[in-house]
Amino acid sequence: MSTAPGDVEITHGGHSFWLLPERALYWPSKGWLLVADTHWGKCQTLRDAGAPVPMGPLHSDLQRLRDVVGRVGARRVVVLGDLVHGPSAFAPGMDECISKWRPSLPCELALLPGNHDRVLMGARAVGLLERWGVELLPARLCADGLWLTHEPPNIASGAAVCGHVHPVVRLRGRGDSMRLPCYWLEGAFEALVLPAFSSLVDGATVRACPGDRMWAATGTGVFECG
Amino acid sequence: MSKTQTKPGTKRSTLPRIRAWFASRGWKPHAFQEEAWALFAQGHSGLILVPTGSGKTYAAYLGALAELGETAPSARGLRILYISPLRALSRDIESALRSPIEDLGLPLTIESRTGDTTSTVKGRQRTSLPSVLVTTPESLSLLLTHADAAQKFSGLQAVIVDEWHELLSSKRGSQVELALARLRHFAPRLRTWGLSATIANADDAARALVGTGSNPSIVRAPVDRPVHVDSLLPGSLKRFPWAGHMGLAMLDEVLAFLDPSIPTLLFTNTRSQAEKWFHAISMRRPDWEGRVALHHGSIDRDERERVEAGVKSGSIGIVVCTSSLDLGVDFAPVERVVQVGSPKGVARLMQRAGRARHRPGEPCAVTCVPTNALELLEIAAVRSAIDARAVEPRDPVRQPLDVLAQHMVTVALGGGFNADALFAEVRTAWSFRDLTRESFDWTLLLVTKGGTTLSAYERFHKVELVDGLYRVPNKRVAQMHRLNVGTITGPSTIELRYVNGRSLGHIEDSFIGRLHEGQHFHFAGQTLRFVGVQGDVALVRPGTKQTNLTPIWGGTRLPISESLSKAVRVALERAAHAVETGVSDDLPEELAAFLPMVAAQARRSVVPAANEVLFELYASRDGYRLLGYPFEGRLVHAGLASLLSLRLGRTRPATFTSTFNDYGFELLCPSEYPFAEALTPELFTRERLAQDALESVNSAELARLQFREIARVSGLVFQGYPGARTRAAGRHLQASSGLIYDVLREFDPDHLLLAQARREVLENQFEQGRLAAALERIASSTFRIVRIDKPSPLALPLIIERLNAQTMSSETVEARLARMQAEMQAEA
Repeated sequence: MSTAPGDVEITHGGHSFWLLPERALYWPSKGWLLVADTHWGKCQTLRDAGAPVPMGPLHSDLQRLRDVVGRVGARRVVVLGDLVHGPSAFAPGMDECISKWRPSLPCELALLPGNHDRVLMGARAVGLLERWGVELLPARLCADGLWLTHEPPNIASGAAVCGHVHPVVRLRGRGDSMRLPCYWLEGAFEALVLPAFSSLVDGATVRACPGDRMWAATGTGVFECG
Repeated sequence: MSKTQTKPGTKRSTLPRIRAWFASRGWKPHAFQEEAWALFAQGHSGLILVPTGSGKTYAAYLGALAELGETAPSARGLRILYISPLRALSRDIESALRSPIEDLGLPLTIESRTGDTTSTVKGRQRTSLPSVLVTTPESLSLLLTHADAAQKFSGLQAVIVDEWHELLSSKRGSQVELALARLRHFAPRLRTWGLSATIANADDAARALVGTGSNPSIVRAPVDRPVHVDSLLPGSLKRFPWAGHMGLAMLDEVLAFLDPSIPTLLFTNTRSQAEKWFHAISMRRPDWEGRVALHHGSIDRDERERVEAGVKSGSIGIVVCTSSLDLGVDFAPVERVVQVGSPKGVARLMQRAGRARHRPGEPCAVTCVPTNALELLEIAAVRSAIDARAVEPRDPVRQPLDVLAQHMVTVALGGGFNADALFAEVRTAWSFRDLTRESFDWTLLLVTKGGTTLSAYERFHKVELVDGLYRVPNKRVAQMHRLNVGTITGPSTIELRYVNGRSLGHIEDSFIGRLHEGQHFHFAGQTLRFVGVQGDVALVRPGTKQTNLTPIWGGTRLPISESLSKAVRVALERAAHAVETGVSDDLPEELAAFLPMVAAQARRSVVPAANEVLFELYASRDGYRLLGYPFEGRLVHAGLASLLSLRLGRTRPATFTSTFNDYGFELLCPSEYPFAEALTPELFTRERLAQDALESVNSAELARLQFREIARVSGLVFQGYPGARTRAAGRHLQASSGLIYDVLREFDPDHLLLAQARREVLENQFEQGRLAAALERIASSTFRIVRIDKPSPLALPLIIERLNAQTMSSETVEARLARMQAEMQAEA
């Protein structure tokens, strides 16, 4: 299996990775697909607050995850935190929707919990992750010498892949400007920050410091930008 | 005058006693007042059109008051409702309405009900309302949510709506129309009277007020106050800017003109401009301290009231203000009115001029201060338009379903409704007279089930059918609705306070969000240092450093009106003619002062004749520009810029950023575009205008921005509870309205509120009718296409002003990205 047009291959922490346009990172030597910040149930949270958000975004995010797994042939999806958005994860419609979708995902699904996943540790969540077929991992995991965490490290402690920030890059040209979700390699901490996988969250505009690299993900391609 | 002459409360009109009271104040009724009293007594409703300060309040009120004399003493409860768009005015109005009641010893009670009313009074009003109530549109809607609304309003005899021209063309006006339809349902014999300044479409305004059920009378006053317009001119045009809006270049001239011993209102067009002018005046004339004050809508109410009282008592001589002082408060001592910057509209300047010597019959005057050379044209133009009384029409908003959704929840709370009956009632409101049953049912579905796609979600069931009537059974929904009624205008703001607790006013969240700790900025005439946000309050300390930072408030920029843009084209033609012929003797002084700019335009480019439209092509470091000058007003130029971006992009994919002002528009393209070949009359064709306009609304951000307001008004997005925790939630939701728009567009494209957002953009931003007329005029004009190597005087304001720039692209994201990268590499 090799990269498709649109994918970008990089080396990080001594391993080869593919940056995918679908906002997911593939680790070919392990067959793992790393995604961050799926925020399942954000649409329900907005609905609870009175906003008329249909279920569409969740369905299309789930579909996109299944498609990208199929495209690269991943054996395992590891979510780097913020799998769910909040207590809305317990809404009956949500539970049903995920439980129905899960059997169609042809691989393992594991979660390294992030700050939003605290609700999954409470009494109401008992049995939920089992039903969804999600394996719960520790909050910090070392795989083949590479750290996987939710929040980016704030001390240099070896190469890491993480989420949490929802990085977005602002691109400017003559009389033109755009914001696009991006992969952000923080040179100082050797941390590769993934774009949020969810299509319903806003991002934080980040600026590259010397030594950083950024790649914008457009949905069909990945482009290095400054 | 004897108080025993007629026993109050007997079945006779008190008009003779009221006449005597009128005379005892040394007043003689105007003919229009007599006419209004008589029409009221005959049972008519209608609109009174007279200039500010002519006694229109009493024209409407005394007729209604006289009739209360015929009421049996046992009949209690609300009889007269007075609606004012500004709550700040309610105190003044209440005292004006109270004096005849007190002087004549009538057995009537009078109170106000606004957002400022104390909870004790509100509590009392929950059980019973006074005979005469002064309120705002928002507080009226709130009263309609009371379960016993039908009984409370059943004895209502008269509703008086003040400043109807202000309300009319906004969604607050639609809210009032629906509320009036409800009141007429409760009290079928109700008479409605509106008070308005002069407007062009008085007939529509009157119909919107009285609804479809009756024919309105229109009362006009012949008391026309002459309006004199003059201006302060710059010493020389050399140092007079071609662009910009702050106008501080004119500070010396204005300081020489001002005199704190002559009471003066100095109007500016924006709050930022008022802050800057106040600061500049205070720095230059420290000796005037205490006699110069600042007044605008974001400043704390106590401070504003202190300033208003200071003007009345004469202790404050000069007030730098914004539209916050356009209406209402009677400032009898004011001698002079100064307008800094573009007058924007004919009626608007007349209204402001009327604030000086606010006494019926006396002439009024306004001194204009141009902030850039092009405003000289506007001043000359506005004078001729005022002389011709070419005032603007005000058009009611057509069928805003977001307002209807809010109204439905209000009515469901206030006793509940039957769908057929409410449909019939709503259609009696002028703005909703063509409402289809389909749209009504869709809106009902929105408040009952959250819309067609959301029926599965229980949280949305705001309104439910209970025992045959639509009601709101959920207490939380009820509470949320009552908090949200009245959020028809205004973005989210945060209170600004000194660390010691004193409040300074309110400021937009977005401005505070950009400040960092220790940063200095101007607000309420003070230099402040930002400390931080605590709960729902932004804390500041007195500043210690100089700064130029002033908040920019959103949505405060008004376009010049159609009437004025027409007059501007005529004025330009006169100036161009004078330059051509060398004869400038009979020009007004503003136009004479404008001639050097016309000459500069002729040197660097071309001055278009009346049957020509000028296009300039200008290439610079930023990219390739097309500049066009139809002089049709900003809204038409905005529409034109979007339309051309779309049509040019169709022939050849490109990304255009457009900027526009009242005189023209600019399209900026980052790569070379063959504008000269593309500029053909076909480009300006009216064919497919409707489809093309709709398509450009969809591709630009416009509809998305408009949706934010619609989501708020219809209750789709909850504004938040007053209180610390929920402010964050409100902000989070506000940021989400764009997301909701995108999601709806993708997954529920037929959502009627999306359709409304598009329609509002087409109507408000594009002014489709005007746009079509402009296209026709342009297509039949001669095109003058000129390449310029330096910005011309007409181009400069557009090139400088990038505030409202918006981008429309027909290229793919990837193509734009590749181009930006190539540019960056070229620069490196």
